[in-house]
Amino acid sequence: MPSDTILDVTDFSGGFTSPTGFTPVLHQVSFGLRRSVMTAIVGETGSGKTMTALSILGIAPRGFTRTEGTMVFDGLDLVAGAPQSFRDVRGKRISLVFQDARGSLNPVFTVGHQLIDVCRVNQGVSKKEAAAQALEMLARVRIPEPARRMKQYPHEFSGGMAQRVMLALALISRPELLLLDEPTTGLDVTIQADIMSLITELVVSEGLTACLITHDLGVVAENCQDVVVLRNGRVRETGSCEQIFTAPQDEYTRNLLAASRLVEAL
Amino acid sequence: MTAVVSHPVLHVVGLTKTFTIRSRGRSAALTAVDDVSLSLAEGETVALVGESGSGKSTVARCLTRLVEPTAGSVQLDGRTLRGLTWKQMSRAYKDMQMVFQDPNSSLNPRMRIADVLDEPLRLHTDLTAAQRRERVVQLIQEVGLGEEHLRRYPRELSGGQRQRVGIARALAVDPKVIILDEPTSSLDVSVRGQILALLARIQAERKVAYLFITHDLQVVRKIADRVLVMYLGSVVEQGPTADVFDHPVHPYTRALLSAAPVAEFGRPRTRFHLQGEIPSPVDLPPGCRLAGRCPMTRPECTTAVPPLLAVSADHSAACPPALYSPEAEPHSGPLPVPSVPERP
Ligand SMILES: Nc1ncnc2c1ncn2[C@@H]1O[C@H](COP(=O)(O)OP(=O)(O)OP(=O)(O)O)[C@@H](O)[C@H]1O
Ligand SMILES: Nc1ncnc2c1ncn2[C@@H]1O[C@H](COP(=O)(O)OP(=O)(O)OP(=O)(O)O)[C@@H](O)[C@H]1O
Ligand SMILES: [Mg+2]
Ligand SMILES: [Mg+2]
Repeated sequence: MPSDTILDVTDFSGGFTSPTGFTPVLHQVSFGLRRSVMTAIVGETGSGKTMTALSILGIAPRGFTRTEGTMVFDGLDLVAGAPQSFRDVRGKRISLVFQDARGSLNPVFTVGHQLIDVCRVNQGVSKKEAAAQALEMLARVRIPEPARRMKQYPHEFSGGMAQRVMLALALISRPELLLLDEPTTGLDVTIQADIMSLITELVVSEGLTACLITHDLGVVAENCQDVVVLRNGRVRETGSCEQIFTAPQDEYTRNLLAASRLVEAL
Repeated sequence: MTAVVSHPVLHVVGLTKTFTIRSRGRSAALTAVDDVSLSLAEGETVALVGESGSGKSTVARCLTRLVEPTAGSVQLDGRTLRGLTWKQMSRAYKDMQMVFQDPNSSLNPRMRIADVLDEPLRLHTDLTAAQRRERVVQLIQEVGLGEEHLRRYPRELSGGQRQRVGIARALAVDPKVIILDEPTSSLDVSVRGQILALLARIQAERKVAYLFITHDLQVVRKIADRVLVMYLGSVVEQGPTADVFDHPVHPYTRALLSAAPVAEFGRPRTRFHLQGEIPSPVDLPPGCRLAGRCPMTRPECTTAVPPLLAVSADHSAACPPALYSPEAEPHSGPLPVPSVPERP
């Protein structure tokens, strides 16, 4: 692995233990995320994308156990290291935009309240300063009328707006690594393009490393430099975006590309 | 203008929903849906598209009465839904099912998938327990999942798997209308194709009508007979899918159609971007909702909401300048694209 990676995942395997036995979900997953680059993780539904992201954050659901492998973030062993050393890593240096946006917002607090809380915890700023940052962040993720929306509750937001609020929450802690699990699925193409250019801008101007989990190859082709292809919990292929799109090595990758071109040609 | 449909199984006129929200310490009215009319014929698929926050899910929720509409009438198979008792309503809901935008919050987290799928069968059919079990297995397989998933709870499934459980549940009881709110957003192309094929097959067999809410314009093009374009609570254009896609009239429709990303490396693309911000649904401008952002804006656009005007027999658009200006003749080839600076 080149040393310019911020996260190295090596032979990571794990699965679910249930009364009926052990079901493996991830099989020796290995990939690296280059600093200040946007990497895509693509793969069909159920291929283990979300479990990989949750494992990086150490918040895999109960029942999931790692059986082997390591994850190293900026020299820090996320798997075997002392738990307290992650506290500043997870949620602060690494943040995640969950696949289910509304479900991961707290329904009993206003959106502004949640943003201000996260901002204060992570940056130790005054309430007033946090409120100003929250407002700015909502505007950056293209929530119209951020001042009014600050005072609203998650259920008062449309699906796509809730998704953008989730992104604002992830960005307000100014992470070094941002994991995005299907961040634009519910968004129309115009806003999707704006959101992706906001992330690209942060990658370029602030050196953010982004990892975009998606099944939308159009978004990948336009925004990502590196690609990891997952299938049934195994990495099938990794490479630069150009390589994957112009000279895919793996048969599954080729099928994936063919399938998406087919849809497009319709 | 509402398109004339032979046998509307769902007929909606003047649907309006305003939410009361608190704004700057006072309560204010947020118009989420404003005077929307639509008809669904037996066996027809109508797509509802539009910017995030334009009111699509609210239309769906009003139709299924998850929120009470402020005004408007909804007829399902000839029956007016307003004023029904709960019992009558529950019977009506056998005929109208919904697939929710966020499957997470719509599946009861304490029910196993087997029970999620069994519930509508128990409520709305006379099947015996054994028959229901058989049907549940058939349903889960139809959406590409297996019996092993039936024992699980919703949180034990991936996003795309949960979404398919929502679809299986809606298909369980043989409804006449299914409202699908972003049903395939978490699915990869191959599973999405499989689900769309399943929906098409069921439609052909049982004449079910779909109201399909989606951001995925490729899907719209592929499956919808007609498309309705919403902007800030109103329908701004509607018509047969091919007409709307090939000859979009309303500037908003054209912006929407030009922004889709393509799965090819380095392919250039021209985008027709709208300037400025979507106005507030709280203080709606008096005229056309797009006026502030539209390159075609005329003085008359800002005084009254433009009505839907006929472009052709069943294609209509709410934009008089696009329809009547000499440089924009909808029947003489593609419309000239107004010069709008590309956003960097
Ligand atoms: N709690 C659980 N118990 C058992 N299996 C689980 C559990 N959670 C997830 N799984 C299984 O693990 C596999 C990987 O799930 P994951 O959520 O990572 O998929 P994904 O690639 O994110 O898919 P999607 O694109 O649909 O979101 C799936 O087959 C899923 O059914
Ligand atoms: N319960 C509610 N209380 C207050 N406002 C609401 C409520 N539900 C929706 N709204 C508002 O109504 C408008 C329309 O929301 P809706 O969810 O219908 O949009 P949508 O078209 O489905 O968008 P998306 O594509 O993002 O899902 C938005 O401005 C939203 O904030
Ligand atoms: Mg997932
Ligand atoms: Mg919605």
